[in-house]
This record gives sequence, structure tokens and C-alpha cells, in this order.
Amino acid sequence: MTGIEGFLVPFMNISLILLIASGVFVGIYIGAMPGLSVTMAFSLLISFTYGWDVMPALATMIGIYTGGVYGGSRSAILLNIPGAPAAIATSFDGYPIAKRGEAGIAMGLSTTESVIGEFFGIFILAIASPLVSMLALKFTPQDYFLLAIMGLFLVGSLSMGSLTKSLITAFLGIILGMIGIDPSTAQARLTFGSQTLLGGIHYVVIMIGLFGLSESLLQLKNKEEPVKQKIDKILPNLKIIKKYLPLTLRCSAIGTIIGALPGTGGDIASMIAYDHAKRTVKNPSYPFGQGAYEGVIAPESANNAAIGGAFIPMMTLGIPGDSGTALLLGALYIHGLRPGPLMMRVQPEFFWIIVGCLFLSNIFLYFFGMTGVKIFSKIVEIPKAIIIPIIVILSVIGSYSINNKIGDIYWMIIFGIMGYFLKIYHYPLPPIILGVILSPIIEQNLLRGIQLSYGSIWGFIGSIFTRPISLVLFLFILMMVFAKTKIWRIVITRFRGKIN
Amino acid sequence: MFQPKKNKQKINSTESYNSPGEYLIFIILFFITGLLFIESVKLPGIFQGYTHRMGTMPQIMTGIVLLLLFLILIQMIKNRYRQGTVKEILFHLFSKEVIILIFAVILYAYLLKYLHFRITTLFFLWGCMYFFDTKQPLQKLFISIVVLILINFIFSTIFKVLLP
Repeated sequence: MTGIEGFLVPFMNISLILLIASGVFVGIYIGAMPGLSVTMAFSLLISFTYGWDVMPALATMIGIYTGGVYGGSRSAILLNIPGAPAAIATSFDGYPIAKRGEAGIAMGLSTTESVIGEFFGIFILAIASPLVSMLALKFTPQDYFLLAIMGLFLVGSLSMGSLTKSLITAFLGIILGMIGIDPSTAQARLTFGSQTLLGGIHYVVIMIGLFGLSESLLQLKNKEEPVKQKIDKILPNLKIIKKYLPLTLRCSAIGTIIGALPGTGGDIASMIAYDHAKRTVKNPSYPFGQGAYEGVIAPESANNAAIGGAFIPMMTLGIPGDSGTALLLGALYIHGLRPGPLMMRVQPEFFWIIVGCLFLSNIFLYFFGMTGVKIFSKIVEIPKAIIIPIIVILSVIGSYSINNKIGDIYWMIIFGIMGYFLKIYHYPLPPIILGVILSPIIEQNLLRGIQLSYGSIWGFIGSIFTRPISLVLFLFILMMVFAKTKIWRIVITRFRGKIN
Repeated sequence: MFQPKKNKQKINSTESYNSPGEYLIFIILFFITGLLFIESVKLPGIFQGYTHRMGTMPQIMTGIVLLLLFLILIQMIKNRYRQGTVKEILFHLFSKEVIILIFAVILYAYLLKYLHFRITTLFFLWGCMYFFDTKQPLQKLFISIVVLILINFIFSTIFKVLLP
């Protein structure tokens, strides 16, 4: 069998088709439920599918991965509780669209754009894998460090309030990610002598607290009445898709490239894409943050495109592109496969089988994504007195299931209450999660970069200006910080005045 | 009891500093960051002359957060921050339902250890639903039982997740 024929294998095998379909279906609802996560589902599935053949196990996990990344947008849109980090940016505009009574449009749009984005990512995966992985190989520790810092500053620029407050929460997130055992010395760090903190605080527990419990408290306080959802338009018409196609393609490209970078995934891709849309769309349908369709299109096309991108380093280098592919890689190892340059050369049909599974899962994503929308829309009309306690229970189960520790439930409660107070005083919460996720990337690459500069921090800083990729990233960061200042606004106003 | 806020405050950088009780969140953040900073200084890092040890990043990050909090303090003073009375702060922060949910979830987490998942969850669900809206208690009890059965089935049987 030559390589490319492997693409047709999933299409000709009924059991693989059924496994992919059920994986997508289950993944959507796992991703949609606040308190559950795709990585949790993967962790369970690895043990559950241990005795299976490699292809059925892989097909199921790919289906769940595809469905789970998309599914987080459902609760983000309907409940303002992102089901996954990749859906945080979707909630910025998705929830206001739902509050306007257009939940069906938002969810139909997110489904269509997710599918388009993922097809784009799969296309790039298939065609440009070698080229993209070569670019990723050229990234040095300085580049990764700056990319992670850029991600944090981007989140700061996405928030509607103060940049200072965004940076505070972002850096607090980084600090939270450092609690526990130091990876290089295996010594306790920031644990205050506590045995409980030796394992650190899992980022999913933090996320559930910040976005699950705190949102529940806030919704109780604000006492907003459930909005009657207009669900007549579930399929966005061709006119809308055509109108926003350039933005979709640009954000899909962003998502694929970000996904291809090891360690960065749909969460960062969706944030960067959202920021890109905010900066480039001159006349949005509604103001960003108040229900702009572009605010759903950008992150949704990017986070699903990142799936295809994340497979590139995994398949060609054996390095996971994000947490989902990290677990997939573990599953492949358990089944005796070693993804990497050798596998691409010796067993190329496996690469194409995986591409075929992704393609098929995306088709099922469209069908399943368009179903159950009415039921999900009705969830918002359920009185808050009923739904909020259920969300809290799901949050408790979700946080307990990570490590099976009651202590994680208490951490979830602490972060939930803290998140509630932070929200009231306009400290944005997404930067905390981003900080936690980026913390190991920032630290490892900073320390590695300093080591490569012979232990000199000035040498590290100087090396940023001597490397083209680092310099470009550094200038981006400067621009982002400067763009939030009054001086920038004055300069831009005067510049526009001169043009007119 | 406390009345819920009817009007949402607009978010802009000036008005946000007029939220009554903002100094409380500032103090809490300063306290937490201060503790983390003190803990980080015990590790070998920048302050001990090392640039790439395990204390480097914690010291840098906690130091940056303290500086940023200092900036927030300056902005609060510059914008003539209004402290507000205790009553105003409580009105701003809480409602009856919020307080009930906070106490209920803490109690729920505590009782999980002794009464385990099913009984504690049933009481929590029905108790919260009833306190938030006292109409139709029997309907809420029925909903609580159905939800509990579904959760058990979905998580224990299908996903094989260990429940608390």
C-alpha cells in the first residue's frame, strides 16, 4: 500500500466510520458540558481502549478531539461558560449574540466556521507538513519565550478594561502554574511547606472554578432573565458564509500555524485570531464584545484549524502540538507506533489514515453540530434556579475527576469565589488560564535561553535583537503594549487627520 | 436582605475605580502576591545572584505583579477612589442567592466526605433550587432526583468516572 491510499481506509471501513461518528458526537457533548474536558475524556479512553487495535482507538480519539474542541463553544455561547480553553474567545461575542436572542445563528455559525477551519487545517496538514515542521524547527527558546509573552499581551489587548489589570491576572496565572515541583530540580516550589501543593494546582480545576462557579455566582447576582431564543435560523445562509470567507480563511491560516507550533494549541490560536479580527475588521456587524458575528467566526475557525496544525509536529517530529495531541501521542506509543520523521518515510500510510480520519470526523462534525442545537438553545430558557445548581454539581464532578481528590473541589471553590470578586472589579479572568497554560513554556524557554547565553540575562536579551524571528515577535509585543496607550491614540488620530 | 443590582455599570477605566470596595480586592491580591514573593525569595534566584535557577521565574513574576499592583494603587489615588460604606460594599458584592450558593457549595464539599455523592448531591440540588425559587418544591425535588440519576448513569456507567 502506498502512502496516499491510506486516506481512503477510514472511508471503506464501516467500524471505523461508526467509531469516528460516535467519537465526534460524544466529543461535542463532553466539550459542551462545563466541568468536563477533552483531555479528561482522553485520559479515560486511553485505559478504556488499551485492549483495542490501534486504528479503532485512534479513530475514536480523533473523533472525540474534533468534537470536543468545537463542543466547548456551545456552553460558551449559551451559558458564557467555555467548555474548553479553546472556546474562551468565543464567549466574548458568542454569549452576547445569544442574549440578543440569536443563539441558533451563533451556534450554526460556529459549526460551519469550525468545519471550514478544520478542512483548511487538514489541507495544510496534508500538503505542507514538511514545510511547516521545518519552520517550527527553526524556533529557538527565545522565540518560544516571546511567542508565549505575546500570547499574554494579546489577551490583555482583548480585554475591554485596564491593561494593567489584565497583566496582573496573566502574571498571577503564570505564578499559579509554577506551584508544585520544579521540573528541573524536582524540589518543592511555592508550596508553603504543604504536602497538598506538591502536585500543584491542575489548570482544569482552576478553569472550572474561574469559569464555572464564578459565572454561576455572577448570574445569580445579576438576575438576568433567560432570553427566549430565536432558533429558526440554524443554518447560516451562503451569503453570510461568502461575506465572511476572507476572515475565515485568514483565521484558519492563523490557527494552523499556531497549532503547528509545539506547545501552542487551539486556545492561543483562537485568542490571536480574535485579536486579528478585532484589529482588521473595520465595520463589524456589531461592536466586538457586544455580539459581533466576526467575534465567533474568528476564534471558531482558528481553534479547529489548529487541530490540523497540531498534528503536523506530532506526525512529522514526534512532538505534540498541544495537550490533545500529547495524549494522542501517548496512545500511539501504547499501541506500538512511533510518530516522527522515520514513520513518515517507512509507514506513510499511517499518516494518510490519520488525515482520512480527521477528514471524516469533520464531516460528522457538521451534521452533529447542526443537531441538538434546538435542545441546547432551550437550556438557556431553563430557570436559573434549576440550571445553576446543576452546573455547580458538574463543576464539582469535573474538578474531582482530575485527580480523584476532594482537595481539588476546595480549590475549585476558592478559585470560583476569587473569580467572582475579580469579575466584579473588572479584572479579566481569561489571562489567568492562559498564564497557567503558558507558564511552563515561558519558564523553560527563558531558562534555556539564559543558559544558551552562558548564564547572562543581558546576553539573552541581546540575542533577541540578533535573531530575525525574535526581533519580529519583540516588535509585535511592543506594538501591542504601545497600542493601548494614550500617546498611540493621539498619534493615530493625527495621522488619520493628515490623510483626510 | 440585599437587593440585586438593577442597573449594570458601564465598564471604562475611570469608572471601574469607583466601584465601592475595590480596595478590598487590591489588599487581597497584594497579600497573596506578597506571600508568594516571600516564598519565592527563599529559593535560589535573581535575588541570590542566580539567573537560571528555580527561583528566577517566581521572583521575577511576583515582583512584576507587585509593581503592577503599585500602579493600580497610584491610579486609584489619582482617580480619587471612593471607598464607600460597608452597606454599599455589601450591596455591590452580594445578593441573597450568592451568599446561599457560596455557603451551600462549601457545605456540600465538606459533607461529600461523610455522606458521599448521592445523598449530598440530592440535598444540595433540591436545597439550592428551593432557596433560589420557593415555588413548586415537589417539582424541584423530582427534577433533582432525575438529574442525580442521569449524572450517575452518564458519569459512572458510560464514562466510568469515579464520583466523589
